[in-house]
Amino acid sequence: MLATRGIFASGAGEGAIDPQSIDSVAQSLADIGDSQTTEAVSHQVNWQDLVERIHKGDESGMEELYRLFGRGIRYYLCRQLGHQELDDKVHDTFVIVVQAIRRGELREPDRLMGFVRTVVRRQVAAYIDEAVHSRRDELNLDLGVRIADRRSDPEQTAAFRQKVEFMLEVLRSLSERDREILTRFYLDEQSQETICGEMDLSETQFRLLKSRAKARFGEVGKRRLQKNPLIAVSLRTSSG
Amino acid sequence: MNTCFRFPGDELERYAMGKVSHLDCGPLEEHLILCAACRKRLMQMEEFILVIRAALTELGTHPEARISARSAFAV
Repeated sequence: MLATRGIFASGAGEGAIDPQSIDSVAQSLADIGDSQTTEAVSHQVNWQDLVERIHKGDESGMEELYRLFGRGIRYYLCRQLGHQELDDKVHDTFVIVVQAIRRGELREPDRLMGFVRTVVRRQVAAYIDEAVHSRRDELNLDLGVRIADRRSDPEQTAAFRQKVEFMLEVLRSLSERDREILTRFYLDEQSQETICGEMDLSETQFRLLKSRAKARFGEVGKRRLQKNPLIAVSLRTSSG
Repeated sequence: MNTCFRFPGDELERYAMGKVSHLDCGPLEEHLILCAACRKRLMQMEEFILVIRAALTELGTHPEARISARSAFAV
């Protein structure tokens, strides 16, 4: 059982909530599209009212919270920790946020986004810490798999390989100098200032080169996909 | 999905490459938690970086490879 669940399970008092109710909210909102969680929506949200509803235990408040933050929290956790036990981790994070609001710990409702981010970051740190400790106990455990289960299947590997082929075509079409600029930036991780200074480039020229490479990558990809629809299916599957 | 350009591509790219300190990435991360359009942009950015790194490595344009190539020509 995760530490956060422990807090939840013993959460008597104002912060106590029913985990089943959160599950039902999550389930009922599972099909809501990404288009509803855009920047435009954030400007329409009355944070004061939302926090107040959650504080009072109004289920509509929890629904809105989940609708606004559910996918973002899932994305952030998945990015940092991988897919392993992702549903549990999202659930735990959501519970912590709701509990804190119900206990009145969020004094400035306008800071809800920042508060959610802080909770998510703490969760990530806690999971990594837990994984490190587990590794100490189980020396044969692969920490990489434990922290972020990023194993890809053969289809994903094939799709990635295909994209690398597209990129190789793009890079071969560039001059040696342009390839060196991209190498310095993406492989050697040199700063833009260093590259521009050493290669006598303006900031605009540097940006243009990068955007041209991205555009050409997209063009080559589209062209190849039109020639071979089977690749398109494979890429769509892997990116979905 | 709507588009959102509150954070310019350069900033998202620096974040994707791990070049933004955790002290400075607050506003961006808060935005990403809420904005699906920017999450999608970031995912595309990350994929582009992974792919171009793999391709550049394969082309042998990494400094070590460049040095090896020069040595080969010298011989």
